Formats: sequence, C-alpha cells, structure tokens
Amino acid sequence: MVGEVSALVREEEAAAALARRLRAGDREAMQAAFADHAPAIARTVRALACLPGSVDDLVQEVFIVAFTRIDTYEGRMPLAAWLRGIAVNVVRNQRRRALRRRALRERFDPAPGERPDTPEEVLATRRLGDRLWEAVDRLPDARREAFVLRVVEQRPLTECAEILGVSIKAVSRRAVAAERAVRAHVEREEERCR
Amino acid sequence: MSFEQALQQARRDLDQTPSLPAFAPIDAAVRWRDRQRWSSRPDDARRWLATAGALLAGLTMAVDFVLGIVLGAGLALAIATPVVLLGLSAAWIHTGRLGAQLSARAIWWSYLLLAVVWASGPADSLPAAGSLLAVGCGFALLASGRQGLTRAGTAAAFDPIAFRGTVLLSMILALADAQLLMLLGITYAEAGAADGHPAALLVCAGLLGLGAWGLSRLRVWAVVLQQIANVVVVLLVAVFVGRQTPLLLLLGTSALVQLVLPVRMFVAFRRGARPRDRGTELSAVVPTVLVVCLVVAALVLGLWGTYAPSLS
Repeated sequence: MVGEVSALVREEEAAAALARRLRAGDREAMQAAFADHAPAIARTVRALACLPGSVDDLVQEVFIVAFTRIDTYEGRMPLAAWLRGIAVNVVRNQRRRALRRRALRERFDPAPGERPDTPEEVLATRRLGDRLWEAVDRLPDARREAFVLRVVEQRPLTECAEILGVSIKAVSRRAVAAERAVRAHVEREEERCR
Repeated sequence: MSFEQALQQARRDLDQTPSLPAFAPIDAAVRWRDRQRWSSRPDDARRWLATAGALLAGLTMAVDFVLGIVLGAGLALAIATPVVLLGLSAAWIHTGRLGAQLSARAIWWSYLLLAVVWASGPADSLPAAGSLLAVGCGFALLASGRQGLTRAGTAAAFDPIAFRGTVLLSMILALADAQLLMLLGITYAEAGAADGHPAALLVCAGLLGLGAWGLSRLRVWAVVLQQIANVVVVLLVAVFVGRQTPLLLLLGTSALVQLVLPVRMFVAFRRGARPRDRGTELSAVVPTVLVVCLVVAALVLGLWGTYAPSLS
C-alpha cells in the first residue's frame, strides 16, 4: 500500500517536472513527450477521425498545437489526457473544414465523382469493422467523441469527462446513445447482407 | 452479437502499429508558429499605446460620469457603461483571442463615432470632452492597427477560405453598432422616454451581437440574422422621422453599409464563381484615413463648440 502511494507520488512529481520543462520550451522534453505519447494519440486520432489508416497529418497537428500552447498546460491533469483533449478539438475542426470544403466544392464544381460501386460490391468488400466506422462517422461530434473514448478505447468515465470538458453524466448519456445508434446500424447492415 | 464482433474488429484495426510522423517537422512548425504568433500580436509598445488611448477615453467618460452624478443627470447606468467597456478594451488588446481583439476595436470605433456627435453638440454639453474621447479612441485604433487580426494570429476555428476581410469588417461593425444601440437603449430606458423604443433598440443590439458571434463561427444563419437586424435598425431610424439625432443617423448609415457589405459574397454564390483569395485580409489604408478624418473633425468641432460662443 505504502509502496503504491509512493509510486503514485513519484509519478506525479515526474509529471510536474515534465510539465515545467515543457513550459520552459525544453526541446528534449518535447521530443521525449512526443516519443512517449505519439502512438496512443495516433490511436485516438484514428478512432476519432474514423480513419483506421494513416493519420500522420492530424497527429502532427495535435503535437504542433500542444507544443505551441504548452504555456497553458498547468499539469493538473495527466499530459496524455491533455493531449487527448487537443486531439478531440483538432479532429473536430478538421472534420468541419472538410465538410465545408466538400459543400463548397459541390456548390462551385459539381464535377461527376468516381463511379460508385454497386451495392453488391460494397456489401461484399466491407468488413464488420468498416461498418462500425461508417456508423461512427455518421454520429454527431459530441456522441462520436464519447463513443470513441468510452466504448472503443474503454477509458474510465472520469477521464472521458476530463478530456471532453463535460460532466460524467453527459459523457455516459452520449456514449449510451451513440452505442445504440451504432449497434442499430451494424445490425441493420448485417441483416441486409444475409 | 455482430456489434460486439464489429467492435472487436475496430479495436484490432486501431491496434495495428500506426505510422507516426517524425519529430523534426513538428519542432520546425512549432518554432515557426511561435514566431508568427508573437509577430502577429500587437507588439508591446503599440499595445501599451492603444491601452493609453483607451484609458484616456475611459477617463473622459469617467469624468463625465462623476459630473453627471454631481449635476444629478440621473443616467448613471448609461454613463457608466462606456467607462466599463473602455476599461475592458484597454485590457482586451493584450490578449491573443480574436473575440477580444475585435471587441476592443468595435468599442473604440463606436465611441469614436459617438465622440464626433458629442463634439458637434452645443457648448453646455462640453464638446471638448467629445474631442478628448475621439483622440483617445482614434489613438487606440491607430496604435493597435491590424495586429492581432491577421490569419496567423487568429484561432484555427476562424479560418474562412474567402472573404476574410469582409467577414472581419462585418463583425467589427456589428459589435460596434450593438454597443451603440445598447447605450442608446439604456439611455432611453433610464430617461423613461415613451417614444424611444428602448426595447427594440436593445433587441437589435442583442441580434447584432449574436450575429457577430455566429460569424466568428462561420455560420450562414449569422449573415441572415445580421441582415434582418440591420433592416430593423434602418426601419427604426425611419420611424424616428423628424426626431433623428445625429447618432441615430450614424447608426442608420452604418446599418446600410452592413446591408451592402455581404452583397459581394451573395453575388459570388449566385454566379457560382470561385471566390478569389485576393483581399482576404483587411486593407489598412481606408480605415486609417477614416479614423484620422474623424479625430480631426471631432477636434475641430469640439474646439469650435467650446471657444466660438465666447468669441462671438
């Protein structure tokens, strides 16, 4: 018990020291923070952006924003949670920009797109995981973020609430509603396949 | 069952080792953004000069506030509002937030207009105080310039792909008019004027403020809301036919300007033409000349109003 407490204290002291070095603009500390957290942040960003593939640009943007605004990190929450909060905002902004640009492109340049696949082709090639991502992609921002953090990444409610800056109750409500919608979509698609 | 399987598969997708960006380009971008951020904020000297201007204007209004109490003018809230707003603007110019930077400019612009009207008043309304207010607000506007409003210095959420200058100008004018309408509404309400339509003025102020907020989020409904509010302002000014004060006429003119401002945007959408990137930042020359002219006009009018009666 005492050992666990002292380990926790050591962890907090290390986090505080890292926060101090980051705020001071220490490049080595930034590089160390990047090496420690980039894989986990990339996982979260891929889930939030519903892009299971490469999301290098978005991960890069998360760390650029984080290191540019490092003076606002006070070390009250773990660095990982703070970075996830930034990731949520970066992905949200990117999705909105993409939506606006798509709408504008369609408005000004309604060029015919690529030939759509036939429904049979689509159903044959899509995996279960793809159907889930498709359903997540259609969720409103708030529900998508709660679903990804709570259901896909299985983070504790308190951490989700901290990252999203809302109450635990709100996260729980959003995650449940999102799960219901995604479940319905996946099962409906499954039925269509049969 | 299929949902759980899908979830497992989605988690497995995420567990595949992702390709990660290198640290070097991130480091380079952070250094570049740091330089941009600092160079786009008003530098220290200019920020403090703007603060000095705002404080001079605030002090002028504070003296007016004290005189109002001593003379028993009975418009405490109407006179205290500018003091508070000008004080806030002196602090807001030091922040890096776009909303604060725009609000500070809007406050100075609206009180510069008010100052010109004040300076043109009769000798017993202390026109020299109007001149001082104009000098303070004009000085703050000229000192702060465009810094803090450039693309590099504003939040990522405000990143219009076209008509950036038009949107910024619309926001500043809407905020400025919202304040003047609020001030006018409070004055009429406090004075108990039956025909002043204070509620309508305050509602218009609220709509313009909401529209400016919506514009900062790049919402289309905000443009529509602003257009509606401006039409109502023009109608209100028309209702006051025969009783228009110079301030009301200025508000009506400003509303007309704001009705015309987004026409370019609507035409571009109507024609289906691709918006050009030219002119996306605010031009500096026209506002500078306009501010200087207004300050000079307020000075001349204030001095004339103060000394001309004694000369004659």
